[in-house]
Amino acid sequence: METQLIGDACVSLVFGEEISVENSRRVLAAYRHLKGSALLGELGIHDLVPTYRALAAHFEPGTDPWIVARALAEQLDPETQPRRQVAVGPGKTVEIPVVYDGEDLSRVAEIHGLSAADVISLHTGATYQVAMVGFKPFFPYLIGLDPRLETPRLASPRKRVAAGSVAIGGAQTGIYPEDSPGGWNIVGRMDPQQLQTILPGDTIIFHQSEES
Amino acid sequence: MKTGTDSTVPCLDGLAAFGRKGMYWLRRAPCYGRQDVGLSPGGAMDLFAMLTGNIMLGNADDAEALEFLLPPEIEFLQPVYFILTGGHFRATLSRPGLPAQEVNHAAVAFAPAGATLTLGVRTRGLRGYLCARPCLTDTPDDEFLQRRRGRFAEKFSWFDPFGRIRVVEGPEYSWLREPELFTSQYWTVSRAASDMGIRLESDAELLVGDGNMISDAVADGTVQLTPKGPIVLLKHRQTVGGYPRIYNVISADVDLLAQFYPGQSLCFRKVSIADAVTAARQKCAQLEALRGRYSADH
Repeated sequence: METQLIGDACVSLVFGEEISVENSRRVLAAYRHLKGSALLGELGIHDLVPTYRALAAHFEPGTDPWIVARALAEQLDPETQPRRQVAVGPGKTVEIPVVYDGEDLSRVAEIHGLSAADVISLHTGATYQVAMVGFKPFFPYLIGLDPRLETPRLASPRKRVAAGSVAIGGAQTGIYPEDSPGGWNIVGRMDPQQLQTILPGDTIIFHQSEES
Repeated sequence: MKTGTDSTVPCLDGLAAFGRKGMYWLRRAPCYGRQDVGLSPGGAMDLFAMLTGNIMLGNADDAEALEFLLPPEIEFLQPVYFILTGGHFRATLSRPGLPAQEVNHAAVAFAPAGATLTLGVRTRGLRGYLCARPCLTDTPDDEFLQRRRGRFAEKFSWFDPFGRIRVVEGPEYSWLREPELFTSQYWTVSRAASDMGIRLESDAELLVGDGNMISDAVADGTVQLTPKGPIVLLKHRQTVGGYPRIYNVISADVDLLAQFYPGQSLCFRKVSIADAVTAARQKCAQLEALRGRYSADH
């Protein structure tokens, strides 16, 4: 595990180099293990941010970042902390009803030589892991898109994508929490309010809904 | 300005009402604990300025303060002590039946109910702050009215004496082909500046070698290198980003960035992590010294 400093008030523990289910699982396990731990208060850590391959800890300025990094690494090291691990269950599973009538659905189908029904079936057939949340508040980055649905982003992004749009961008699928510009392929829509309950580490399942 | 319910908004716990015209926000201290769902701590853009104001009034650190780029007309609804900190604006207090009074920067002043505060030309910095607390006695207390912080540059010493913004290496620093290009020249704050961050412009082009940047965490002061040049993230930033994090402004100096206006030039100085930690501690100690001086509450 490598340690990076993001300024003098944030350390990042790097678990791997690329986006993978395995790296994400390790990051999320560390995130769940540390979240709620008394160590956070002792070190003045006020925020933990899991990402695809790293876990960042933001703390009060004035603390030596290397002391924070060492303490976190020790807490996570199974050799030094064999059985002190608090029982950390998996995140919750969230089922999201999606109306699959996105403006790019037929084009995505065409690109892959599939029918729209095939695209919907592949998209609802997978189980997605929330690897991280960010960019915009409540924007979930999901791992688990069926490779058969990988679709390049739009050559020129749209000026406005509606909140709740379910979209595919490259190897990722995600949901827009608020109206914003965006270059992902929109395949459906959901109720954006539902995103506020989602945490990193949760599992998401989409199922087809006729109308919201 | 004639104020009324349709043109003003009561704020600061009912102590004042602000006209709708202007660019201003009600700010508190940062709110932590939700960066994992994409919410940055935010709070006052120049937290140090807001804290010095609240401390000098004997307020709680996170008492609501007014932050303004374009100040609104301000009417005090009760007798108050108030103070202006941060960016300097020419300020005049109009009191019913009394001559108008100039208000000094960073000095506690008194306003009777019904007085209006007019903020005019900005002479220094970008973001101004107004902190206030109620005056519960019939006449203002002289001890309060003698509270003067003094000039920022004379009163405090935690910043770079030459006005440079200090940076440390970021996680993708080693990707830069010529890293010293960032610290060896002047940059201009572009018009594309907001509470999320400021874009920097210059003739020189920073280049990174090949690297596969995967979206990762960012912090206050993170310098991201975009294809259009560097961006420095400020307090109301996103929580993750997909551009190389080449440098990071040290935590102490992020408040200073809030006072740079579009078109202003700035330059950076690279320091060590140890220097950054020392600066953060100095800043904290100097705030505590101010607190010690004014903590005898009324």
